[in-house]
Amino acid sequence: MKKLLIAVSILITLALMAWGYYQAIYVAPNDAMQGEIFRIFYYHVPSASVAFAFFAVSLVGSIGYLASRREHPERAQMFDAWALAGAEVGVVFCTVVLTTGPIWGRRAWSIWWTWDARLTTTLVLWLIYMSYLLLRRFAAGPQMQTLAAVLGIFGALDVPIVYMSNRWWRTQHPAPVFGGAEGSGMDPSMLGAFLWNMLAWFAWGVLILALRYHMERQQQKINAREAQEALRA
Amino acid sequence: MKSLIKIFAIIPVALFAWAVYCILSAPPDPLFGDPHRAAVIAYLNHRFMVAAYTIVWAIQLGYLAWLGMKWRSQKQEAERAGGPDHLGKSPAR
Repeated sequence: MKKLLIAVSILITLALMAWGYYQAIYVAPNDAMQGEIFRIFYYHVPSASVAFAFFAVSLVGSIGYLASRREHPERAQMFDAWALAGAEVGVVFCTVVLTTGPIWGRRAWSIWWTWDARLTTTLVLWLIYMSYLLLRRFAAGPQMQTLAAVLGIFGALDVPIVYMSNRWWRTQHPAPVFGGAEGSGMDPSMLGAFLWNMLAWFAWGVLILALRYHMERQQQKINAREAQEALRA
Repeated sequence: MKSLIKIFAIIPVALFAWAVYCILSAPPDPLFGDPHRAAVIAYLNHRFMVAAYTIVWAIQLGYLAWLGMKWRSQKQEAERAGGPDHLGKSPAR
């Protein structure tokens, strides 16, 4: 039953990805000002949204770990696995944002990069979570998970700053398309393609997140078993 | 399974190389007054869009391939330790 559920989830996700791609490339019209390059938006913005959502998962996992590590060590390990999975998959999506953005910028602005508030805060967010992953990879000892959880919480503080950066400051980055000033929004002919891609990338992200979480839980079990065997020896 | 993961790992590298090629081999921006300016800009936009979409899949599939390799080594580690493997089944003793 579990295998069937996984297979159905994978099939639905792949169908959504294919449909989202079809919508973005063949159904949505070219942007009147930017032409075809605007279609990057259909991958760029959903990737940013998924990254933010998964950094939030990491935040909840980190808080949960710190809150339960003394009284409920097994639950704390579960939270820790969510924190790691959220941070890692979030970094993957954030990398997508930081590569597709400059490709669009090269055509729209004639420059690859500029140190404006939105771009810089996004890069800082990526660097914080990269340092989180490096800490988890190279630090050892019982304090590693606690340090990582604290870093995960601090890293998540940058997410609202990234989100609000082009509202608080004047940036080269385009103004918010949704929830921005008066007149912001999307043409209905483009909105469908955007929403389908949003759904597709969320489905893809959740699938990978679940896989990464499962793997981390397995690793924790292996580590615990090895530690027990070492103690017995 | 091992060769499948290897093949899966080659795809993102190929996609990344294709994306870089799309960008590096693109012609320079046309000058103002160029009679073919609109056509060249449309062509450049298309190439960069293809590069962006390709790079997205290079990153996503690259990560998936890395997870596959990690999963495989984890499975071997679990079998060495003699405990339940990824599917929760006890290995034959």
